[in-house]
Amino acid sequence: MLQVERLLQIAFLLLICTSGLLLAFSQREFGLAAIAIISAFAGLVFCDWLKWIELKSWVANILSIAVLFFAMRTFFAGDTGGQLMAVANLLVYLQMVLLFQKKSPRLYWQISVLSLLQVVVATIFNMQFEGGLFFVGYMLLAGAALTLLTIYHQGRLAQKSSQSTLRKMEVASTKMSTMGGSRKPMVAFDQTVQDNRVVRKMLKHLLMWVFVSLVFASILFYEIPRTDSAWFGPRYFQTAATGANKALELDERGRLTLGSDIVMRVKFSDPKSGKNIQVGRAPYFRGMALSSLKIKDGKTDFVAPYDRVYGFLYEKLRDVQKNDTRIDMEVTLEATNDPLIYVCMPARLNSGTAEGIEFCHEISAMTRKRQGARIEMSPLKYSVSIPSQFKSTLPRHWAYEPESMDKSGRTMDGNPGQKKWLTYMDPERYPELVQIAKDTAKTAPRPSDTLSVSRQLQQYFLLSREFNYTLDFRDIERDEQLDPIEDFMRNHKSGHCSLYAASLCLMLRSQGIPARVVVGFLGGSYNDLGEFYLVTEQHAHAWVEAYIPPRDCSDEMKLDPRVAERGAWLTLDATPESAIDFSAGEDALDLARTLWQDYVLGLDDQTQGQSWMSGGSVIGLLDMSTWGSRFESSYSMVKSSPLLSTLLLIGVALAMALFTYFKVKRGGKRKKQRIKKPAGRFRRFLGNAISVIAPNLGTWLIHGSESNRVVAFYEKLVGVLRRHGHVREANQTHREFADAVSLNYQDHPAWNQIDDSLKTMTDLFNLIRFGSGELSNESASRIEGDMAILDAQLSAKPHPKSD
Amino acid sequence: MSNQKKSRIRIRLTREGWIYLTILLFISVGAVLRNINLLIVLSGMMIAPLMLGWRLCAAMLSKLTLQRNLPPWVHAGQKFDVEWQCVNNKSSLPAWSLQLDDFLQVEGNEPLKKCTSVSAILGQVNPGQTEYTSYRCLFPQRGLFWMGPTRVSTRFPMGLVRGSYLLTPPIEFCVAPQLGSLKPRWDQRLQSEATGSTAIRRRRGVEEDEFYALRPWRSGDSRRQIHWRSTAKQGEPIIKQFDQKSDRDFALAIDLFAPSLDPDGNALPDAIEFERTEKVLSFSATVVAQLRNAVHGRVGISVCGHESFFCSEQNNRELVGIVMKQLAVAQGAGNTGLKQGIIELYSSVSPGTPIIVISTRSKPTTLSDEFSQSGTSMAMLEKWIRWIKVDSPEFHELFIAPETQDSTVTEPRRELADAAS
Repeated sequence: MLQVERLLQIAFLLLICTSGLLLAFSQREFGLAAIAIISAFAGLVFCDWLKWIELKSWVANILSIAVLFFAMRTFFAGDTGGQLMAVANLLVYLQMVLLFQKKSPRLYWQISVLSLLQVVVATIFNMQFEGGLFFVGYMLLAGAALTLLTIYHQGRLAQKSSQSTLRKMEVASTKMSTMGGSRKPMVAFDQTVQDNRVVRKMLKHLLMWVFVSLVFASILFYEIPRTDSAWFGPRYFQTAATGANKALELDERGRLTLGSDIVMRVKFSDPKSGKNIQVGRAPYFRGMALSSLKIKDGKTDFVAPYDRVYGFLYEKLRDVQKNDTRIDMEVTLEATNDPLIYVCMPARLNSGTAEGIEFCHEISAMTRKRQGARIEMSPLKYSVSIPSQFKSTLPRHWAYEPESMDKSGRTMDGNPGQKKWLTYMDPERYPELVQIAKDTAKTAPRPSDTLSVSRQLQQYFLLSREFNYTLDFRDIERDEQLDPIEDFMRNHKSGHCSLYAASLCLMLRSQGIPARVVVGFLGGSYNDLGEFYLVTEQHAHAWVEAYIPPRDCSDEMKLDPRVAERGAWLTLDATPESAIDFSAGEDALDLARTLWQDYVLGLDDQTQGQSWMSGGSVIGLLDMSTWGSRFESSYSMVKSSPLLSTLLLIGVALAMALFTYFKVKRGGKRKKQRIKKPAGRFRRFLGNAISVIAPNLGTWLIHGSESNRVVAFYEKLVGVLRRHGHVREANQTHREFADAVSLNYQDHPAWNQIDDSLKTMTDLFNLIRFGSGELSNESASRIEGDMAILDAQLSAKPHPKSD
Repeated sequence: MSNQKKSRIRIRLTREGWIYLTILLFISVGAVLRNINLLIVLSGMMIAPLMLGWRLCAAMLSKLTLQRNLPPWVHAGQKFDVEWQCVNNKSSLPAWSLQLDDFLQVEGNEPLKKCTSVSAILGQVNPGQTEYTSYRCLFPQRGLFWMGPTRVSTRFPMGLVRGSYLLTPPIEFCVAPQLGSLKPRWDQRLQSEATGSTAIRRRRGVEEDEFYALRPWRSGDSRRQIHWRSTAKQGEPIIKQFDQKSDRDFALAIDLFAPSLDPDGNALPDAIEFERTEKVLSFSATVVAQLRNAVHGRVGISVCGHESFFCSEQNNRELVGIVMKQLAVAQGAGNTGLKQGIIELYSSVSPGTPIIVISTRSKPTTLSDEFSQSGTSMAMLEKWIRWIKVDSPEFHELFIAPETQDSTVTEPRRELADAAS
């Protein structure tokens, strides 16, 4: 078993690593954690174990000041997130300085405080579910570290200066004190505390304590009344690879990496039954349309026209159709400063959704804030209704929404500016692409039909085996003279969804069909346990919307009167389906993340009411006025159900049986402890028989541990003598042992007393052991005193015998 | 010791606990004001150890029985272990990391901050079990001291909260004078005094004599005294040697004459008188310590100093304890009442028992006259007085005193002191 100090060092190493990782998880920045972990290891090895480096306190102070200035230089310039980062840096750097100093309990305490403050910063940054698990682990480690620190501190305190005092004692014991000498006694505690035993037991109990702490913290957490929405802390805005970009870069170089961060959770439900449903086809969570084609640095670039967004371009889409063929979509969007929200079109906002959400015509997207508005960094919940002809199947088209307030009879032909804008392209820039589009359009079933041509162009990509989906462009030979889209269509035919979407969009435009690239998310992992879609950044996608005028809309599309009136936006996806990841996530983990998100990070006054541990259900139990109605409803429920009645009866019977069992068992135990059962005839006979060859065993058999108590004083005497270096040999009788010890102290000034005590106790032991005498209370107390004197006398050094 | 009473258990925050509480308050206020849920969880997780520590400390300290095991007396300059015995009377909860802060008072009623203190640790005491811990102690000077009060505390588990209670009142503790070494000459002298006297001395049977040692067989030894087991082990005959006990009486007068004291005894003795007094007391304590086996008759002891003390009893352990306690507090005086002490001694022991006087001075010439004036029997008394002056050649023949820690005492001052006596 390792010593307490070594255990303490290891515990603190783990503590620092855990707090560093917590900080890393919350900031998504592992550099700081690496510094913390490496410094912790280096401190342990080079300072604590090898003792190669030990910073003097004044050096450490100077370093701390330097670290303070270094870490805080960005504090005043940064935003809240930057300021917190500066504080986190400071904490880690200060901890690093402490780690290279000689450790004392106080220093360990300072390290633990810095570690705790790191956790505080991490919690302000917000942690995801995995971080929460680390958080529990941290609390366990912190408990262990603090407990070890207490034991270590106590041991150090008790033994403080004991060595010097013991040396002084050695001198003082041989000299007579003179007048004027100190009368103060010298005292020293020089025992080795049984630390390891305590540590072992402590670790067993620690788990229980952490569990109790968790339960306590949970109850407190859910009972504290909330007055406002939950704060989600400062968080760096991280642009999702494609879906959340306001501009689409089409000339990717190197591998395009997509993060695994959660973007949103989406639940589809049947409004009539309220049951959650899994939609038939992969849903397109539409973000915004990138309708402006720009050539930038010789590359085609689709961007959203943010610079042309004005107030009149916003519209509230709240006209929910009161029919049975609709699907409700409830979205919980993670905290982000992006004003975009994602819906499956055609969506109409439900009444419960906050007022701030509007449809922006210019970018053709639902957005919660206008450009330039301050974004609140908190998760957003919103609910929309999606009209659907078929249950659990989402449409792939939606009615054209004109910008004007008067939408009746307005098609895109009525908005020539928009049409021109959405059909703009330079055919000379993409000769191969245009040629392919022409050739493909001719093969359409109805070449004059927009719908037919659009679908035929989409099929060109889906049916062709030449195209290859990839995110990695490192092995692709690029022709720098060509536009990347033209290069894609003509040469390498390898790319990701953006290239496919941009190419299809240009092909459609080359055929005079208004089209735009749309970014958002496709699919998501469906969680069977939670019955929701978990959409992460990996599901980011780009596709195309083509305008189909009313005359070309199919009959199915025209079931929506608005489509029949204004035309429709048709969703076209050129990306091969095999390239899209529909793999399911880990259901339990995802559900845990969702619960963590909803009931821990995002618990507010509304969610608190829904929680089973909330004030409504727990504190409500204390409200006596509700007990009558509770009882009545419970009684009627039990009475109405035979199954419940039977279960209740069985439960009561079981409870009674358990109560009786434990009562009897515990009572029996107590009785056993109180009354000493005398040895029976058989046991006595057996004991006596065994005593012939093994007296100790025989005595134990007859008297049990009681006999041990009687001769315990002798065991104590043996212990005292052992401490002074005298051990009874196997062939020595007790009396011989006493004689032998006594002979060693012939020169001792108190030899007579030592001799007397030894023999008296040995004789008494022999008397009691063989049943000729009993140990009275008086004798026992006298022996205790004699033993203490004997110990003291043996401790004193004998004076040399003078001639 | 077991009569000590427990004060109420007090739970207090340690320094670390205050820092912890400050951080906790900071976090809690931030959490509530900003509605940061994770900080609320963190606050809860931090409050729990604080409350747990509070309850655990209180629970662990309850139902503990502590007892200090002390010898009835110790000698100055003698290291000894003060043993603490702790019984945990609880049925389930062990007591962890108990700290026993023992305060040792020189004067009594001292403020705790001025007392010498020592901390002893008890790692773990399981329910229903007894554990021991001890610390080493040495009193450089004789006297009466007070052990206690004792603070029993624990900071377990996290060191944030400290539960403690006091065991009061302090226990009076006797520290007898420092022991020296008696030379063999002392035994011879004691033996010869007894043999040559007319004191009643009854020879006991061999069986009743006390075992002294084992030694190789010599010609003439009785075969009955062969120790067969040792003989078998050693391969040569070993016999048991017995010490012949006698019922002779013993009388000791301790004369603590200190001329530098005023009649009221208020002034402190100077260094020389102090040293002489200490030597006399050390000699006396050494003699008394060894009386138990040397003398089996009646023992009379008279301490003549600032306060006179006399006792005469059959030799027993209690008598030694009483005398040691008296020697622990004895002080020199200008008028010691020696004559009265000797007279009391003479009348308490058997006639013919020599009265050994250990003194800081030479035998006063006036003492014979005083006895003569007291009557015929008293005049005979002087014949039995054996005077031993401290630092005399005779004293050094009999006794090796402990070395002084400080050798600043100079001979001229010593001479002056002799002259004063």
